[in-house]
Amino acid sequence: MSKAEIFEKLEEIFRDVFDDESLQIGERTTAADVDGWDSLSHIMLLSAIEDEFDIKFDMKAVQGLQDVGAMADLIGELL
Amino acid sequence: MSLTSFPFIAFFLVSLAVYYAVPERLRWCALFAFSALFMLLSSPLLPLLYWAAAVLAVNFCARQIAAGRAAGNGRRAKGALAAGILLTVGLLAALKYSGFLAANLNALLALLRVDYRLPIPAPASPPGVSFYTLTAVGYLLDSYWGISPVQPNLLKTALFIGYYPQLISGPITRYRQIEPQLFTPHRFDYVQVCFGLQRMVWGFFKKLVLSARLGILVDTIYAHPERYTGLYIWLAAALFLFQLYTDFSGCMDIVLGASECYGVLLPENFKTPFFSRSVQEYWQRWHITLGAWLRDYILYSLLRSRAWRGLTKWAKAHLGKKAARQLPTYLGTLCVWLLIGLWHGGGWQYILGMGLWFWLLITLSQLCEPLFKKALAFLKINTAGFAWHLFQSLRVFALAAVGNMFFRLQGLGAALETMRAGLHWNPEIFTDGSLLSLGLDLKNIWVLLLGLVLLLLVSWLQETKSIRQRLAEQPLPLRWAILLLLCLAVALFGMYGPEFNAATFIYEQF
Amino acid sequence: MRKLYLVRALAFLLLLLLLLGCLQYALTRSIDQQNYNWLANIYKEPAGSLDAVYIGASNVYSTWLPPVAFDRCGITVYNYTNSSQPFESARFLILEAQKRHPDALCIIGLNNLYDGISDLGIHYSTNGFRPSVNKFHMIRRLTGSLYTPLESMQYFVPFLRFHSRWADISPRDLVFSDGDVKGGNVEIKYFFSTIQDMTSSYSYTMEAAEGESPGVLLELLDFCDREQIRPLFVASPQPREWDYVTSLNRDMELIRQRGYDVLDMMGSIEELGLDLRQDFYNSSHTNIHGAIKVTEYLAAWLAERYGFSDKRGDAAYADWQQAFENYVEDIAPYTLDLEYLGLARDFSLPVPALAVSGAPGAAQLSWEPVPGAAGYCVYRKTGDGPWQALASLGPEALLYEDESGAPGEGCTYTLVPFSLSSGEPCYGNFDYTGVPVG
Repeated sequence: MSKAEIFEKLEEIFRDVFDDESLQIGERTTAADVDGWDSLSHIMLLSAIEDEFDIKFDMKAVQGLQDVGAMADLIGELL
Repeated sequence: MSLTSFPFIAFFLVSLAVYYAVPERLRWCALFAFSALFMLLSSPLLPLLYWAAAVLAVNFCARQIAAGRAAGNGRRAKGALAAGILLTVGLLAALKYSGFLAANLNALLALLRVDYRLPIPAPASPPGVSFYTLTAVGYLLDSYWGISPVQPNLLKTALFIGYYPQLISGPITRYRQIEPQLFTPHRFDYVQVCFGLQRMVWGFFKKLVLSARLGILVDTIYAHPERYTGLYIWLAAALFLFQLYTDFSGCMDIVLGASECYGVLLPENFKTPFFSRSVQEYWQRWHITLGAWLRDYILYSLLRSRAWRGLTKWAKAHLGKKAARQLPTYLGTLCVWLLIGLWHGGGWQYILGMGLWFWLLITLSQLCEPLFKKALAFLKINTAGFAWHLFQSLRVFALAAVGNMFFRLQGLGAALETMRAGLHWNPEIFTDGSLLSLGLDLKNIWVLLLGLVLLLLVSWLQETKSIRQRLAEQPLPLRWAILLLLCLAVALFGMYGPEFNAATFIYEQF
Repeated sequence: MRKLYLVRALAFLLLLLLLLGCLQYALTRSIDQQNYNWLANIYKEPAGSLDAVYIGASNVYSTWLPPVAFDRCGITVYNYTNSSQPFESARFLILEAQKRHPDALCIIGLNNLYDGISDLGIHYSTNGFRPSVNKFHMIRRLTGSLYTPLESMQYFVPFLRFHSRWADISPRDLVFSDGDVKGGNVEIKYFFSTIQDMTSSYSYTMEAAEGESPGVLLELLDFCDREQIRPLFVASPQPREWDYVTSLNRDMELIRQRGYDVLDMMGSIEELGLDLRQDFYNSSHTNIHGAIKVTEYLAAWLAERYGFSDKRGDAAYADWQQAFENYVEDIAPYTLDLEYLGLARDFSLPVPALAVSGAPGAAQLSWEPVPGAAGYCVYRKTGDGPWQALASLGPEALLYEDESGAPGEGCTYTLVPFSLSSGEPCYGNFDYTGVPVG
C-alpha cells in the first residue's frame, strides 16, 4: 500500500472517530491541531486504525507517535 | 520525618553537602544512602522490610522479563511480569486494603445473619507504599512492552523505587525518564541549586502559611457540624480544596525543589488546576502523574484488550456506531475512576464519592456536549473570552470541592449527612462577623487572603513563563528583595514551632 | 564553584540572618519589656559600680526598689531578677554578674526555692542574656530534664517560638525604655494599686520541717563551695501558710550549717512595720507600700552589715540619683509623699477610724483619737490625682472641715497620725485607700 493510500484511509478513520466530515489531515498534523483529540480519543483512534488495517501496534509505538506522518510511517512498516 | 520540620531541613542540607562533596561517579550511592537513612528516620523497621521485599521482587522479575524478551521466550517474560505485579500489588492490597475488605466481609456476614465477625487488621505500612507500588508496576510493564531499559543492579533499582523525594507522596515516575538523571554523574550547577532552593521556600510558604491556616478553618467547621450548618458546609468544602491544593502542591514544590538541587528533575504533578475549563481538563492538571499512570497502564490496557474489542463489535452491531465508540470508553473510564477512588483509600466514600462522582461529571459532560454547544451558540456566548473562562473555572472548582468533601469527611454516611446539613440558606454568616470565630483572628485571615492572592498571581504568571526564570532576569537588588521577603514571610507567618502543633500532611498517609 | 557564587550565596545568607536577628530582637524584647530589661541592662552598668546584685523572682522585684535604696543609703544594688525565675538560674546569674562586678555581693532570694520551671520562665530568664558560653550552659541546665534537644531549640533561638507575635509588635516596642529607674518595678500596675488583707493567711512559726532540702539548693551550695563565693541568702517577708514556713526554716538552717549568711525576714513582719491588711497584694508579694518599707529596712541592714559606702552626691553615681527622681514620678500617684520621701515612721500608731460626711467643697471629717499621737495630717486625693497634704493638726483635733475642694468633684481623704521624736514628726499607719466623699 502506498503512503497516499494510507493517508486516504487515515483521513476516513479520523473523520469517523472525530465525527467531522470536513476534517483534513497532513504529515505534520498533531493532537493540538485537531479539536477533541485527547488521550481518550487517541486510544479509540489507534483501535480503529488497528481494526481497519488489521495490524497491532505495540505499546512502544503507542506512546511514541508524534504526528500523523509518523503514524503513517509506522502503519507502512507493519503492513 | 515531616517535610516541614527542622530535622528534615538539617537532613536535606547535610545530604546536599555530602552529595556534591562525593566524586561524581559515586553520587548516586550518596543518594541511595540518604534515601535509606530517610526511610529509617520515617518509619519503624518492620514496614521497611515490606519495601525491601518489593524491591527484591521488582529487580528479580525485571531481569527475568529482560532475559525472556532477549531469548524470545514470551512465556517466561509474561510469567515474570505476572509474578512481579502480583507480589507488589498484593503487598499493597494486604497492607492498605485488608481492613476495608474485612469490614465489607463483616457487613456481608451481618446481612447473611451469620454470627462470626472477622477481626479488622490494620498493619503498619511503609512510607509511600501506594506511590512506589505504582512506580514499580509501571516499570515492570514498560520493561515487558520493551519501552523501558531494565536495571540489573539491585541497589540502583532500590534507589529508583526508594528515591526519597518521590517516596512519600510521589510524583510517580517512569524509569526511562529518571534513569539518566539518577545515575549519570552531575556537575554542580549553581543556578539549578538556587532554583531548587527557591522552589523549596515557595513550597514551605504554601504549606506553613496557607495550608496550615486553611486547615484550622476547615477543622473547626467540620468538627462541629451541629453548630456550623448551611453555607458553612460549602465554605468549608471550598476551603478544604484550597487546603488540599496548597498542601499537596506545596509538598510537591519542596520535593521537586530538593530533587532539583541534586540535579534530578522529577515530573510535575500540578499545573494550575483551577484554571481548567472542564472537569476532564482538571484531572489532567491535578495529580498529573497519577492520572497519566492510570491512563497509560490501566485505561489503555483495558481498551486494547480482547474483552473490550469484543464489546465494541457487539455494540457496533446492536447499538450503532456512536454507541460503539462511547460504550466501551465510558466503561473503561468507569473502571479507572473507581480505581482512582479506591487508590485514595479503602472506603466507600472514596470509591463512590470521589470515583463515581467525577466519572459521572465527565461522562455526562461528554454526552451532553453537542447540546451545550448548541446552547452556547444560541446564547451567543463568547467561549474564548475571559468571562466564560472564569465561569468555567469557578464551575470546575465548585464541582471538585464537592467531590473532595468525600475525601475529607470520614465515611459515606457522614459525608451525605454533612451535605444535608448544608441545605439551608444563611448568608448572614458572611456579614455578621461569625467568620472571625472559626479559629483564625482577623490578622491571620488577612495573611491568608493576601497569601492566596499572591498564589493566584504567581499561578497566572507561571502560565506564560517560569517564575524563577523571571526572577533571574531581574536586577540583583530586586531579586534579593523579593527572595528575602519570601523567606521572612515563611519565617514570620509560618505556623511552626512550639506555639503550633505540626500541621499534618494529608496525602502522607498513603 | 566560582568564587563569585560563593560570595553571593554567603552575602544573601548573612543578610537573611541579620534581618531575622532584628526581627527576633523586636519580637522577644517586646513580650515583656521589663523582664527583658532587668536582665539586659546589667551590661550597661559601669564595671565594678555595683555594691550587690539581688537574684530571685517576683519575691525580689516586688520587695526591693533599687532607686529607693540608693536614696536612703546611697547603695547600688541591682535587681537581677525576672518573673518566674527558676532557682536553678542563680548560679549562672552569679557567674554572669561576676564577669564585670567581681566584688559585688550576691544576694539570693529564697522564696522562689520551691517554684518549678515553666517554659515562659525559662524565656524570661534567658532572652535578655547576652550570648555567651554561660548562657548556653544555663539554657541546657534549665531545659535538661524537661525538654528534648529539639524542643529546647526555642530557647537558643526564641524566634522559633515568638514569631507568631508578629501582629503584636507596635512601634513603641522598638524604642521602649523603662525611663531609667535602675530596675524599679514600673510595669506591673496591680503592684501599685492592689491591696489585699492577708491577716488570715499568716501563720508564722519557728519550727522546721522534716525531710530533705531541695536538690537545687544543695547544688547551689556546692557551687558556692567550689567557686569560693560568699552570697547572702534572704527570705523576704511573706504571709505564707505553715507548710511553706517550716520548709523554709529547715532550708535556712541547712544554709547556716553550711557556713553561709542568711537574713530571715519572714518572722520580721512587725519589725519592718508591715501591715498585713494593707501592705500585700497576695500571699507572696508586697505592694508598693510594703515594698518601700522592706527596701528601707533591708538597705539600712545591708549598708551597715557590709559597710557599703554612701554614694549619694557622688558625681559618678548621678544616674542612680536621677533614677530615684524618675521613680518618684512613677509612684507618686499611688503613695503619699511621706512614703516615697522616706520621712520618719512610727509604726506603733494604728490606722485612725475616719468618717467623712457632706459633699465635695464642704466635707466634714471626724475621727477617733489615736493613743500616742502628737498630731494628725489630713491628706486629700481628687479623682485619680496624687495625694496632697491639706493640713497638719494638733493632738486634740477630732474634726476638720474642708472647704477648699472643688464642688462636684469626688475626692478621697485619709488621715495620718504622727508622734514626735526630737521635734521631728514620725508618721504612723494610715488607710491607703482612704474614705471617699461625693
